[in-house]
This record gives sequence, C-alpha cells and structure tokens, in this order.
Amino acid sequence: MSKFRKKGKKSAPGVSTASLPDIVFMLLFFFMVTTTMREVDLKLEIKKPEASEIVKLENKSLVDYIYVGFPLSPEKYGNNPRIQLEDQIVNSTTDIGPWKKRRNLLRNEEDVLQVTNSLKVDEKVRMGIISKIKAELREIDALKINYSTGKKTEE
Amino acid sequence: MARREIGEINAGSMADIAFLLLIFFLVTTTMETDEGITRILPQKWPKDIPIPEIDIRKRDVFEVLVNAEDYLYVEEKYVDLKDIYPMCKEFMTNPENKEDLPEMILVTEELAKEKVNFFMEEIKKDSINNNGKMAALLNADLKDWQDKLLAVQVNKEPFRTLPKFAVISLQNNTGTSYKMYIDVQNELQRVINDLRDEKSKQLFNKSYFELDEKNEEDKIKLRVLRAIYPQKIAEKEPSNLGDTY
Repeated sequence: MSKFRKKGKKSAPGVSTASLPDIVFMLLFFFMVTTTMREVDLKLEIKKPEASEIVKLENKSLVDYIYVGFPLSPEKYGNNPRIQLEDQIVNSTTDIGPWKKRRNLLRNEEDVLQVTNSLKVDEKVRMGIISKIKAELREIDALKINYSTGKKTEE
Repeated sequence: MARREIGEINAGSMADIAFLLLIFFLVTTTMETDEGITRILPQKWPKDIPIPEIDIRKRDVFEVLVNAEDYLYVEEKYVDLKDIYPMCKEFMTNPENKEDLPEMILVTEELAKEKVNFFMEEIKKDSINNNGKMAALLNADLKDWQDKLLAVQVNKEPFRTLPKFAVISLQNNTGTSYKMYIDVQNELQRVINDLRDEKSKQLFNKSYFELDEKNEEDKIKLRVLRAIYPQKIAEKEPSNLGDTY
C-alpha cells in the first residue's frame, strides 16, 4: 500500500467557455471593419490582369467603376465582351456619358475633377472596346483612369 | 408592493449570436483590393483652335506598337516584352548622347526662370487677345517649368531631362489583348518608377515608393522627381488592321 494512492480517477475539469463570446466578438469586429460589401452584383466574368507598378485607390466615394468582361449568362447577353455600369449591362459605350453625368450630380463640384474611373476589365478582352470607352470618357472630361489589376507576386 | 427580483440573464446564447454574425460577415466579405495602373487621359483640344503643326523629330519618339497577335514592335524592331525595359531606359536618359535618341536639355536655374516668365507673359497675352482660350494648355506649360525650377533648386545643380516633345508613343491594335496592353504599360511604368526611385534615394535618402502624396513634404519631393523624369506616355488611336473583336 503506497502512501500516495490515487483517489480513483479524477475527471478533467470542464473548459470554461465564458471567454468564447469575447473571442468570437473580437473576430466579428475584425471582419466587420475589414469587410467591404461587394458594391455591385457582377453579371460578367472578370479575371483581372496582373501588374507590379500599381497604386492603391484611396477614396472609394470618388471612384466610378466600369466593368468589362464576358457575360456569365451568354444565352441572355451573348458571347462578346459587355460593359456593366453599376447593376446593369449596357448596350454601348455611349451610355457611359449620361451615367457619369448622373453620378456627378450627386457630388460636390470640386470633387468631380477628382473622380477616378476604375476600369475592371477581363484580361482576354480586346482593346477595341477599351479604346472606345476611353474616347467616351475623354469626351466628358473624365480624365483620371485606373486600370484595375491584381498584384504581381514574382520579382 | 413586493418587487420581483430580476434573475440573471443567461448569456450562454451570446456566443451563438456572435457566431451567426461572424459567419455572415465571413461570407459577405470580399477582400477586394482596389489597385491598378493609373493614367491621365489627355485633355480635349479646344474646339475653335486649330491644332498647330508640330514637327516632331523621330529621335524624340519612342515608338511602341502592339499588333492584334500581341507582337511587339519597338523602335522598328520586333522585340520581346522584357526587351522594352532597357530600351525605354536608354530613351529616357540617353546617357551616351546618341544621335537617334532624344537630345536632352540641361535645365539650369536661369533657363527655368526665363521659361516661367515667358509662359506667364503668354498667359497674359492670351487672356487679352484670345479670351484665354489657350489658358489650359499654357498653364500646363507654366506648371511644368515651375516644377522644373523647383527641381533644379532642390537638386542644387543643373539636371538633364527630356525635351518637351519627347514622348513614349504607344499604339495598339483594336485586337490587342488587354493583358498585353497592361503588361506593356506596366513595363513602361517600371522604367519611370525605377529612374525616379534612383533619384529619390540620391536626393532624399528615401525610396520613391515610400513617398506619400498626402504628406506636404513628400508632395514637394514627388513634384521634383516627376519634373526630372516626366511620365510622358502618349497613346495613339488604335489601328484596326486584323481586327478580331
């Protein structure tokens, strides 16, 4: 008989879950802060090209997005690249002018010149349509553009 | 009246609620990074002013053509994408003063001051004789020389820079793929950024990429670097030979 006899099997004390809400809340706040809600419902497939010499766009309210890509539902929109502005697929580049004017009405006059036009374009799209968009933007004095790209990792 | 005692609220479901919210944000989150290559399109030419005939010398143009099959034709040679970098760098600096590359101008403080005064006069004349129709264009010239003046003062010695009409001319085809277009733009930008970076380290002991547009001090530094190595990429209307779009 040993002096240090085990007093039967001791069950491990249950892990306290009191701090669980705290941990979860911490994660929750992290995601709430970093999240950016997808601003539009994309109807196009866009795989952006990659580049290394890129700049970040800062002020989101001063960015207008123009999407160009291949329709996700080709039976409805065909197989050619199309342009999407906000939630709508538009028929031609001439729709960009009126759309920009509508957007600019909501802005301060001094902000209008600061607006960047972010072109989110699929890498397989041909330049013809892009040139037309650029000509259209130039026509309405929307001169700041940004070719949206991913970040190249090598090098 | 007997006050009823309020029992402790069970916080056990708090974790569940938080989890639910967490999962919602996890699903809706798209860590979309908004970055890319920024370009400023040229201004429209004022309607009632004829476009002046400018005799641009061939040596002042770095011609980059991209065709519908994404082949590159630079300075009258078929080249690979990676060849653009050294060629463009040589064009931007012309270190050996070659005959077929731009004739660099040496910006001295006197020259810059003289030019600033000249354009101020021109703007005055234009507003009197011409109703200020050319104001936008003349102001651009004035600003250009004001920046150069600042640059030469910061640099403390004269520097060589590209002449006014020297330009990187980029022409693509309507059938060029967007990927190739971005690759070429990226490569040209890389040359300019690297040159500015080199200068930035030499003048300010700081990388060009660390300079912040929103910081007043950095803003001046950026102006100086941009004046020394201007970013002049002009795009021609695309050709549509072999159009496949």
